[in-house]
Formats: sequence, C-alpha cells, structure tokens
Amino acid sequence: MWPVWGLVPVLLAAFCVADTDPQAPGLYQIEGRLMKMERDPDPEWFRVAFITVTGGAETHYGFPTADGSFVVSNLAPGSYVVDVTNPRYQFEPVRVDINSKGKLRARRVNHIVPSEVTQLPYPLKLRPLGQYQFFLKREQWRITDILFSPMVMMMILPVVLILVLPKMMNDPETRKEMEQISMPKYDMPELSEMMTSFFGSGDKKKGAKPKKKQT
Amino acid sequence: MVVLKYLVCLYLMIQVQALYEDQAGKFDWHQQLMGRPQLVLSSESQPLVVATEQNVLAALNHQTGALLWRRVLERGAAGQLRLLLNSDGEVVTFSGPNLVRVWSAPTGQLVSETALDLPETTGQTFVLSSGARELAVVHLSSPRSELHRMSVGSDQHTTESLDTPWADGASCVSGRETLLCRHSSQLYVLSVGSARSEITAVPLPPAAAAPAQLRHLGSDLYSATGAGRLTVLRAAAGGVTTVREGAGDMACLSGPDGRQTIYVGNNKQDKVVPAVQFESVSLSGGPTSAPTGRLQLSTRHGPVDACHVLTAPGSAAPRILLVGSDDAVTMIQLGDGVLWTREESLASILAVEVVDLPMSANQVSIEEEFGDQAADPISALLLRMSSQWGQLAALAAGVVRPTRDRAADVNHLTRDSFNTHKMVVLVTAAGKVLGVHSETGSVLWAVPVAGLSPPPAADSVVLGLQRGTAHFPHPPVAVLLSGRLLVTFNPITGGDLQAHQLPYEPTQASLLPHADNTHLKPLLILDSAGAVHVWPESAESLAKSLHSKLFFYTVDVKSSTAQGSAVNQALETVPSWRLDLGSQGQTIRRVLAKSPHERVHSQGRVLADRSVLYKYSNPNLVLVLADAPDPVHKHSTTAYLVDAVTGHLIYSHVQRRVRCPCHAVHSENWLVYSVYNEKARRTELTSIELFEGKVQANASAFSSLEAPPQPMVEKQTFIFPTQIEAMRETITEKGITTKFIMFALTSGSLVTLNRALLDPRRPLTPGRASMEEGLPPYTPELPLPTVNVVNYNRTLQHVSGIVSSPSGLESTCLVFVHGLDLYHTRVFPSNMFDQLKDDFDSTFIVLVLVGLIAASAVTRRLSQRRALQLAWK
Repeated sequence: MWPVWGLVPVLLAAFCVADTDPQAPGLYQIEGRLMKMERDPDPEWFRVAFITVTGGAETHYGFPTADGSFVVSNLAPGSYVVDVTNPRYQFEPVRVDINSKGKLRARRVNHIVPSEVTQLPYPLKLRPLGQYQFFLKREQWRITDILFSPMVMMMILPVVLILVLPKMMNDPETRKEMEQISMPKYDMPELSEMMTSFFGSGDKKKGAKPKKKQT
Repeated sequence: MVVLKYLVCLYLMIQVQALYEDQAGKFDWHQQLMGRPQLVLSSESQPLVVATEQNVLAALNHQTGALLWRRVLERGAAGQLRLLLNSDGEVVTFSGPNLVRVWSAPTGQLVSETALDLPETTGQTFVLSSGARELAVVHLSSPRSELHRMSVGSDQHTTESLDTPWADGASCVSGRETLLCRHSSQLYVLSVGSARSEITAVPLPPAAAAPAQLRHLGSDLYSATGAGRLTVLRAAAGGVTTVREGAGDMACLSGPDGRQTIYVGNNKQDKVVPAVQFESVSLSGGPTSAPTGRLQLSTRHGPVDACHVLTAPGSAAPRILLVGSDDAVTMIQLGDGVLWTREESLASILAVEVVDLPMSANQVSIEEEFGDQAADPISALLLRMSSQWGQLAALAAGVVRPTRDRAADVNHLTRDSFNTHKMVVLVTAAGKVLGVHSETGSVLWAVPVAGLSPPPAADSVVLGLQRGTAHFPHPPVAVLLSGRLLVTFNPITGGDLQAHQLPYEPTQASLLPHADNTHLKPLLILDSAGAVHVWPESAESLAKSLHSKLFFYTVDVKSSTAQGSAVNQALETVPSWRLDLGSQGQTIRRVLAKSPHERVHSQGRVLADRSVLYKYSNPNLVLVLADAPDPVHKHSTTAYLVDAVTGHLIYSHVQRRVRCPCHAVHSENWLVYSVYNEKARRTELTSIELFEGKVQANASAFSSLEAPPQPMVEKQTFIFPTQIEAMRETITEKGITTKFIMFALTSGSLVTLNRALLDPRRPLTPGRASMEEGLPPYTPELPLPTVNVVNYNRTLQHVSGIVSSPSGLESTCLVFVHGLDLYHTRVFPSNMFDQLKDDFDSTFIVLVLVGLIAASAVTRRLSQRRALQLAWK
C-alpha cells in the first residue's frame, strides 16, 4: 500500500513539469504596481526604480509609470522572481508562475521548500518593507560609556574604597548610623582598613625618600 | 548555550565587511556609462536623448555632457533599441521584438508601455514611422515580407504582405519613412509614407556599391561613405536621386524639410592631432549661410565615424555631436571648439590589468636602506641619515606646497605609502587602450590602436605585464595580444606604443613566470600549427632552457575539447592529453585556472584534535564547467577538475536538472561555482575543497608529474538567494587575510560573502570539534545582509567583470567592477587590522597626553612644596 501512494506525488510532479515546459507558443505579461511610501522624505528613488524579472534564460526589465503600475512583457510560460531594484527601499521578491495556458499565480519566494505555496494577490502589489541599511552605525561618544568601561571601573572602585570609606568610618555620626543598622557583618571594611594602612604606610615611605635627598 | 555560541560565531562571520556612512565615497568612485550612441534625438528645450548599442536609453545635458537619467534595457536583441522618436515632449522608443514605450524626456519616467501583438519572425526587423505616433514594423525575409502598421495608443493594426525575393543577403538601413536595401547591383526603396507601401528598385549608384557604408541622415536622405568619398542620396517612393557627391567621411543633416543643411565632415590630421573639418551644403538651393570650420580634437581619440547636428541652421554656431570610431562621444560647437567629451568605450571593457605605480625617490631610498645587508655600519648609518633627511625635506615641502595637483601628470605618478593607488590598464572592444587612475577614476591616458577593433572574440584578448615598475632604469612594459596583432606599451604613461602584425595565427598566449636579464617576462605564444613563439625573440634561449617545465593547454569552445601539450627542445608542442567533451554532447561553458598572482599563506588547516589537514595546492589545477541537454533531466552540468600538465582528471561532479549560466571562482585549494537549479528554480553555489590528507607528499614544492596522491574532496551545495552576474574572490598581498567572495547581482549590488560560510566542511550537526575549528553548522540558504553591499546605493548594471588586486596593506583588497558602470572600491575582509581606524580619536589621545604631562608637572610642584614645608617643620 505504502509505495503505491508514494508514487502519486512523483507523477503529479512530472505533470507539473510538463505544464511549465516553454514549448507552447505565446508570450505573457506580468502586471503589477509599485506602492509608494506615505510621507516619503525623498521620493527621488521612485524615478530610478525598476523591476527585474529573473528565472528565464535572461533577465527582463520593467519600468514603473508615475502611478507605480508596471508591465513586464514577452515572458514564456515558466516561473519567475519579480524584484524591485532601487537605492532606497527594500522590497520582498515575489515568485510568479505562468502556466502554458497563460494563467498567472503569485506566491512568496521560498528557496528552501520551493513547492510550498503561499499565495499572494495578483496583479502584484509591491510594498516597501523598509529602508536599506547599508551602513553600520558609528559608536557615539558618551560619558557613561567611559565611566562604565571596565578599565575605568577598576580605577575608580579602589579610589572609592581607599579614600571614601575610611573617611566615612572616621565620621562619628555615620559610625553611629552604621551601628544602628544591624547589618550582617562583612569583612569588607576590615579589608579596606587593611588596604589603607598598607597604602598609607607605603605613602609614608615614598614621602620619606625625597626628604632625604633634599637634605 | 552551544547554540548561542554558534549564533555568535555565525553573526561574527557574516558581519565582517561593512561600511560606516561617513566612509561612503571616501575610497570608492562610480561612473555611469551609456555606450556608443546609435540614435540621437535633440531639441533645444529638451535634454539630448540617445539610444546606444549597449541597449541604453539615456539623456545628457547639452552643456556639460552629464548623464541626466539612464534606462538600461535587456541585453542582446531583447533590448535592442530600433526607433527613437520625439512626440511633444515625450520620447517614443521601439525596443526588442515588439515593445513600444513612451518616456518623459525631462525625468526618464515611463509614461506608457505597449507590447505590440506581432508574430514571431525569423528575418530581420526594421521599424519605420510615418507620423509622430504611427509605426510601421517590417519583418524582412525572403521571398515575402510582412509590414505591420499601427499607431501608439490605439488598437489599429493592419498587415500587408510584400514581395521581397531579394531579402536574403540584402544590407538594409532604416530611415524615417523609407527602408533602403542594397542587394548585388540593385537598390530597393520601401516607402511607407502613403497609405499603401511601395517598393522601388533602381540600379545601384556606383558610389553606393558594396564596400561603401549606407547611413540614414534624416527625413529621406541617406549617405554612402567609403574611401574618403561621400554621396548623399534622396530615397523616395519615386526613386533615388543623388544630391551631393564629393570628398567626406561623415554627414549630418539639420533643419526642417525645405530648409535643410547638410554638414559634411572630413577627418584631418594636424601633425599628430586629429581634427575634423566641416563644410555645409544647403539643400534649398539658396546661398549657404551656415558656417564651416575646422576643429582640433584630442589626441586621445581616433577618427570620427558619425555626426549629429543638434541645433537649427539659423543659429550662429551649430552644435554637432561626434561619435568616434573609438566610441568617444564629443560635443563641438562649430567655430568655438570642443564643449565636452565622454569616453564611452569604457562600457565595453575586454581586459583589465592593474599595475603598481612607480616608487618615488624617497621610497626607493628607504628600500635601499634595508636592501643592502652586507654594508658596513658607518655607511649604513650615513645612508639612513640621508634618506631620513630626504623624508623630512619631502614632509616640509608637502606642508608648504601640497603636491596633489601633480597626481594628474602621468610622468610624475608615484606610489602612495600603502600602494593603494594603482594604474588600471583597460582594453576596450572599440579598439582603445586606456589608463585609469584607481584613486580618482580619471582617464590619465588613452590610445586608439588601429587594427584592434573588432576583437576576434571577447575572451581572446590577452593583456599581461611583462615588466613592472620596480626595475629602474628599465621602463615598465605591458603586452597586448588580440588576434594577430601584438602591441607593447608603457602601462604607466601609455607611451612607447609599438604594434606588430604576427605572421602566424596565435591560439594561446601566456607570460613566462621567469624574467630574462632585463627583468622582462617573455610572452609565449602558441600558434595554430603547434609551434611556440617567444616575444621578444631575444628571450628564446631562456624559453628553450626552461622547455621541460613548459606545458600548454588550449580549450576549443566550439568543439568543446580541451587539449594539453608539452614543449620540446625546439619549442614545438607535443600533444600529451585530450579531453573531448563535445563528442558526449557537452558544451564547455567556463574554464578557470587559479590567479597566478595569488599567494597561499598556510599549507594546511589545523583540526580540533591539533592535527593538520594539508591543502591540495596544485597550481596546475583547472576547472572546466560543461553542460549538456539531458533526455530525462533536461539539463545536466558537470564540473571537471583537470591537472593541466598531465591531463589527469582529478575529480568530476555531475548535477542533474541544473543549467548554466555558470560563474566560478578558483583559489588556493577550493572552488565555488554557481548554477541555476531548474527543478527548485533557484541559484545554487557548489563549494569544493581539496585536501592532500594528514601527510604531505612534498612539503617544499608541488609537481604534477610526480603523481601526487588522489586528493580528498569535500563538497557542499548552498542556496544563493538571488541571481549572479559575476563573481570574484578577494586577493591580498600575503594571503593571510580571510578570503571573501564578491558577487555582482542582477539587482545591481556588489555583495561580499565570507568564504568560511561556503566551507564544504560545515557540519550538518554541530559538535565540539567543529566548534573548536570555528565551523558554523550547515544552513542551506546563505545570508546576504544589506550591510555587506559594498556599493551601497550605487546601482551597477550589466556587470561584465570584477577585478580584484592586492594593495600594500595586507588587510586591503582593491576591487574594480566594469560593465555599464565603473566602480572602484577597497574591501577589508578581516577589517582594518593593520591600520588605525577611521574614527581613531587622535585629538583625544593628544588631549590626554597633554593633560597627563600638565598634571605631572603640577603634582611635582606640589610635592616639592610639601617636601619643603615638611623640612621646615
């Protein structure tokens, strides 16, 4: 049972192929319309835009009129991809199938599963998806970027630990406040005190040396 | 987590090459071309509209020659423009087999388009018009022709049948209302002016006999030119009358009916400067008031072929558009001079060679400083001091007087510090050799070469650099071979041009990789009789001494056979192998060897287990792509990898239901080629990579003769989302930088894609080993993000080729794209790793430095004061 059913799609595929064989005389047209953007800051792109129809032996071109409608002629039955070339807006390409009787069908381009059909309206209505992003954005200089960069943080944190914390500890009011807040004891202040004493003694040594020289 | 890592890896791979907005136009330039004008339309109030042989409809500014708008039609007969009419501010064109389009002249916007319902024809098609919007299409064939009359914008369509037994072998010129055909000793005039068309046969006037060229001048006037004589004929329904006979090379007509003036031009030579002399002939019989004149043209241009008068005869100085035999388009004003010139031969480039500019004296002294290793320390020091003094002096001079203007002078061209400015030498189908500065795109020199046009076949032109600019006092020499014509010239100045007619028929030519004692690489030419000739002949002994290392392969595209041969002591070829694909019904579509300038940095690839997979780097490997009709699968395409020395077939790969157009790149140990899959209706890229294995047979050199082991072949096919017009790989000086592949698309973009994304070893299922190697998992469809479009919004149409060349910087590859647009840019495949970034903040660095110095001075002062105070305590 299984293999017999398996045969049917193969046969169907064969018929489909026979259908699109470009032997039948007669050439067909793809019609459509290029939609403009509302409130377009630079409508100049529309004047240079053109439509490419690829998939046949050669690329065909279509040109939009002032209202955006276009016709691409002299197409043999087959499957084509219609795309819009312009320097400003990105469009989604559309696949148009023309069968040997001249019937047209528009669908979404799907390169990975070419047999999948997501039908689109025909005559085509091509709408801009958005502006082309050709360029990367330059990084802007911001003070926060510098302050939060790891190098600066590494420099600032010890300074805070060394200068600010001992001062806070020396201030009697804050010490009272600290004592009032029943915080679980961390060994952080001890560490800072140790560091201040370490650096403080280091400073004294450094300060002592030039004294000797001056005398 | 692993998937995330992959995504990051993939993202990094895709996003390597991209521009910032402020970089646009910084190191790229773009020139729009139109091609050789065929039909010209002009009126005072409108731009100058031309239809060209390259199927372009373009509008130019009268005053400057600037392109106002351009519409590119299909390639070949499907887009050929056959008629150009002016109808109240609009331009009517007939193109291809049946398309009538109406365009707005000021903007180039399409107004309306009609596909005429015409039957298919096997004969020639001519389009006449009997009114502003009345068209008559003649399908000329023997014994009967058809005439279709129709008017634009209405459905009227009448068909007439005409008796034309002479149509076979007739050469015809279409005019406005008449078609003039020459066949043996008769001249036939087909007139469609009245309601009923008629054919008149008259005996051929001797001046219009066979070698003479017939041209339509306007209304019912034709010219026959040949051997310096020009005859003007009036062809009407009644017969043909000779209006004017005399010396002349071209003629053009101005004015409305009844007040017509013909300008007859003669090509002259003022010493070496080409000139053109015009005289006017009034057809109304009265005395001619139109001025005549003689004008000098530029030495860069060849003789003029055709002319078009653009202003009414009443005006004091008529403007005439000249079309040169070298496709140069020049606008002149009689009595005033040349207004502008467009170099349109650039639209048909056949061969490109990128040449380094000569080094400046300073650069030479730097080279010398490091070149002589054996020099004693004192003289080396003196040399160094003198060269650095020179650099300092040059710097000072540059500050005082910028030397930018010197760049325009061919004789003072020097290399820039990173060797990014080069001379691009071009050979065009119009028979012209040009030198273009790669930084600005300006044509620095141009030489029309007699006998170069038309080339025997587009890909049969060989252009090579025999000696570069690095061998002072020997001048650089480039060689050009087209058919039997061999031309040598200086590629930097365009001077020393010498043309030689070879006494034999060359079939293949290539430069010998070894230079003779004057640093000149001889050109080896294989003739049709199988003998090898050396150019210059003085280098024959060098070629003879190397004969055992010389092998030739030739590919005959007509019979689809490839043939290889060795060279014996007497410099004759001995056939050694033959690949006959034609007998199997296959047609060779593309043959591609590696670039001889390429350098491979690494011999192998390090795998995840720290072992090395060695590349199969056979320099003699040639890719042959052939397709054949297939009874079951319609088409099949086969890729053959052939060792060109031994004829050894290293690998072949058949793809069914797949057809050309095939484009390919071949570099290092990998190849990528594109085909069109008819079943899935998409473009596919097949990537092949060859490896020798984990051991290398010979680590120092590769020899095809010592039977290398059969390589391991990895292959994979990917889906490419659009259609390709041309492709090329990037090339850098040392080959360290990642390779990218550049694609010119039908949509006019030039997109770069990292080769690593086309790696055939991309695994189907991700694993630790592939991740460590940096291989992203296989995805069938290749991503083409718009930030990878290197030409951003500058559309490139009908691209015919991409040329990449290395610069002095390892990170930078120079790219030149030709076709209907010329485009030059730099790409940085692995980013600018050897250069400071554009946005490097020098002022910030300077400010920080100054700040630190100031701070240290202040703190020193403070500490001194404190120390003093402490001492006083």
